[in-house]
Amino acid sequence: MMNEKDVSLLKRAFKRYYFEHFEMIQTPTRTPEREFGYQKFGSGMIRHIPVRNEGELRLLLLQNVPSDVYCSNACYHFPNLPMAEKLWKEADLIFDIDAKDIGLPCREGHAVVVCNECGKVGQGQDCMACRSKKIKVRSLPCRKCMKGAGEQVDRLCKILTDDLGVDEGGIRIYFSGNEGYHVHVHDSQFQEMGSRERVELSDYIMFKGAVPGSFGMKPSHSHTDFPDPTERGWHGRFAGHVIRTKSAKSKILKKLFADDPVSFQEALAAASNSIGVKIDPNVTVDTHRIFRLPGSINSKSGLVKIQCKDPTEFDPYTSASLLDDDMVEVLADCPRQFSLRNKRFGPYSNENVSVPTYAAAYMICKGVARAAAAA
Amino acid sequence: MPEPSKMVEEAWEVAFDLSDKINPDGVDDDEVVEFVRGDDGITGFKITPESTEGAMTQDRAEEMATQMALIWTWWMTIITGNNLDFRQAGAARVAGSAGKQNRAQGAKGKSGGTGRGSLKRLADVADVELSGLLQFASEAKKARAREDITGFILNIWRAVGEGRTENVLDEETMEGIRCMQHMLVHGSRLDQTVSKLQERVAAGEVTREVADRLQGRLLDRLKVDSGGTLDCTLFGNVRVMRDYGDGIVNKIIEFVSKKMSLQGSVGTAEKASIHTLGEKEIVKYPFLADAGEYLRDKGFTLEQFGTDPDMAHVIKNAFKRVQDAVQRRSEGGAEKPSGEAALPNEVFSFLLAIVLLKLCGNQSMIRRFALGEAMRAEKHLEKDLAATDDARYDLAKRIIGELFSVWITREDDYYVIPIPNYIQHSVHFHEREWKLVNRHVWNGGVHLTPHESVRLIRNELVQHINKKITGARTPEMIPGFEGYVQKLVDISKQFVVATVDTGEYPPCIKHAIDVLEKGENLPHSGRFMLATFLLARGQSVEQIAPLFKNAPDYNERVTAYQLNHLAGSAGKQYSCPSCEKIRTQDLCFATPECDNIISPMQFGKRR
Repeated sequence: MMNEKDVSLLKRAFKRYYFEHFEMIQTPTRTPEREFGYQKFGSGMIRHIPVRNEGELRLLLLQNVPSDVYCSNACYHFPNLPMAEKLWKEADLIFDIDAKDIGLPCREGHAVVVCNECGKVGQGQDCMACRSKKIKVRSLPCRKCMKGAGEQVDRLCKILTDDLGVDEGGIRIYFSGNEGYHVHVHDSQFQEMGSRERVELSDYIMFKGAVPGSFGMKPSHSHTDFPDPTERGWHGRFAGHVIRTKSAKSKILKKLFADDPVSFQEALAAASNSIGVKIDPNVTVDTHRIFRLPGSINSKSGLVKIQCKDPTEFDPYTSASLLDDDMVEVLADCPRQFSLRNKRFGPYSNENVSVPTYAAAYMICKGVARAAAAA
Repeated sequence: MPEPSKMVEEAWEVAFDLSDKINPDGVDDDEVVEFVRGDDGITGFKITPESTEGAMTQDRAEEMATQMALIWTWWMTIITGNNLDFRQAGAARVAGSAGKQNRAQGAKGKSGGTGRGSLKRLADVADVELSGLLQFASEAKKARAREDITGFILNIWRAVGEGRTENVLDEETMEGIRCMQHMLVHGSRLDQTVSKLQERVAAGEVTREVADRLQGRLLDRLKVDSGGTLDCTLFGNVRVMRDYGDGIVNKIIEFVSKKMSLQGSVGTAEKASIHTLGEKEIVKYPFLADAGEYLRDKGFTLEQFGTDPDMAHVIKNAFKRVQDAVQRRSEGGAEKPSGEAALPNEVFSFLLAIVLLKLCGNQSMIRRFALGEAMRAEKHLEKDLAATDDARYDLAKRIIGELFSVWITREDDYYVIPIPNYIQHSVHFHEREWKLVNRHVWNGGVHLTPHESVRLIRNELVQHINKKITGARTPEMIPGFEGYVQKLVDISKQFVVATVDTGEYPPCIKHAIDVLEKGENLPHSGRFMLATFLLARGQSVEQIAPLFKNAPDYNERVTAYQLNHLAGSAGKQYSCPSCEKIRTQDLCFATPECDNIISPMQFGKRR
């Protein structure tokens, strides 16, 4: 939906970022074995690109000024050939945790609806202007959302190290550039696992598919096998989740072990929802994915995918907004206030405003502003 | 043994040295380079201005040198068991190339010379005769094309490097080399090599397990349809190897077995176990024994069991053993051996059971018997694994490790298997309690009981025994056996199953169609499932496309493109995802009618 002026504003800003901040780009390990891909503004994905080293990557970014850049989690013998001939070697384990999948109560308020047909910005289920149902939901997430996603990342990392035996040094956490986090795991014992096998890992992390029989439900309905909260792995976590206080233990268990296994099964399903980690399983089981390149700009927001140490303390709106701050004019139609680099912007109601490039890019990427005629 | 990475580098260096010497002043395309061979190898070469097809031109020489470096790399990979990196080789090549330019400058004006020095260096390192390499070099010009060798060999090379860190050549490695030889010498296509592999499985020369893994790497990982070709342009040249492969590969095998002082090649792991087995162990695990050898050792012939009245009970026990297994009865009296004399009879009953099954010739009987025997062996493995006696524990651990590549360690009361190792086997189970989430997992290991550890490899155990039987030679009918064989033929008649297709859609597909009809959003994964399902049911793209009309983001052109893609416009038809995958994607709405199917495609095909 972007017009030429929007594109040229973004391109200029993105190019300047890649030119001035190339050090932010993390060239992946084993670069020549990976497949790169990128999207240019307003066109499709270009894939199967081989990149030999940092220099070539830099050239690619500056020559093409892509809207988004990706790199495979897999290593191949021939990354440039069509998929069937690449000869897969192994793939890093990757996770995507998105704020919109966590189901926080604050979410509803963040949704901004952009009509696919008339381009008007509004809220609700259909376009207020033309009543079209063909709408695109964009969101301007708040710090709470990001904190919620950060807590999920924390849980994920704990399971990775405690249960799955991943070395802490092999885990890297990134703000995704938009509404969530990406976690990359390098050099783990899972490198060579195929997609079908990775389903087992993602189900494990999400606590999905647990059956009562494996968590202490016996045909006799005796409680003796119910796990203790001190047990390691999911058995302990589930027990700790169910039995909140010691005094209520027998009452809770009685209810759990009620006459049919349905209540137990329901408790497991509910636990999956509340204590399972909300990763996107499609990402984790994909062994041929090209995944956003660390340090590159996400064109859904104009923010950068950057590494962060502690996601529960991380504030993307101050740390990941790295475009320049030259003032530019935009026609903004943004119903919500947002803040970037500790500055507040909006709300704007279809008005011409002069804002720093990083804020302009954020709004244009979110579909709530247009580059003004003068820009 | 020198450092593997160093050897790769050296290989490239030598290779380029060689091509340098062949072409000190630059050779025109229509000039021919020929090696001059003396008694002790290449003594020089001559260049003649003659245009003959397939002659040794500069390109040819370089190509040949490249092949040599490649062969060298494979060779070292096979020997060291390390996964040598072609990229590394490539990097060395670049370096070598630069060096070559310099050397070419310096060497200008000189002609003649000898390639022998560099070849000798190659040979010295690997302790291999010069003549093998010379043969390879001089015959390179006869090269002809066969594109698909490349991918195959790369995979064998992978196979060798994968998972086996110790420098021991196991059955799989040897079989991999044999496949490579097959392709190189006979120029077989992938599919031909695979069927050859299957023949060897049927003949009992390769274990099913190993063949499956090799074949899996060939077909699945490469996604090569049968007969399909690979065009790995970078290594397209490797096809040259076909013509001189025989000598080289034989040398590799010879050299490797000498180095490792292995006598046999196939089934080394298994045989090593058997040699240490006593009579008691063979009773527990009779499938580890070599049938013919065992009978010979004990001084019996098959005929004796049919005619000697004193042996009549053995054949009767054998029949009972088959009967119990195929009718899923728990083991009868044959189970408990008493006294030393009873032991051989136990083993005989197993061996004769196989003979009866072969004479009966019914595949599903054999499968059932193999399952019964596997479950019997499982009980023993379980007991041995749990034994406080270290020797028994070690035996069980070794059988499970060597035959099925599951490496168990004991930790307090638990038997621990690394997660990837566990999942590799557990994914084939449909029962949900085998899912990783239902297991005790910590520190990267799955913690199991002896019972569970052994249950994990049941399928492989069945396959192993099944293979033993199908691979055995079918003897002529033996007098005295006819009655039992006839009884088995009668029993086998109950195992015929008919299936009826009701043509109904499974609930996941119905749900997907519902969602679309209501104009709600169906995720990409749901659309994928729906489209692949309907395509597999034989519907056309034109029939399916209208289903998506109500989707919020419907675009006629994009939909048509995507459907065509799924239908195989780009060469590969996508298949419908499994129930497992569909569950992961929250698209499963199983009903009792699903009846434990593992793919939506099976829905409604009632037995």
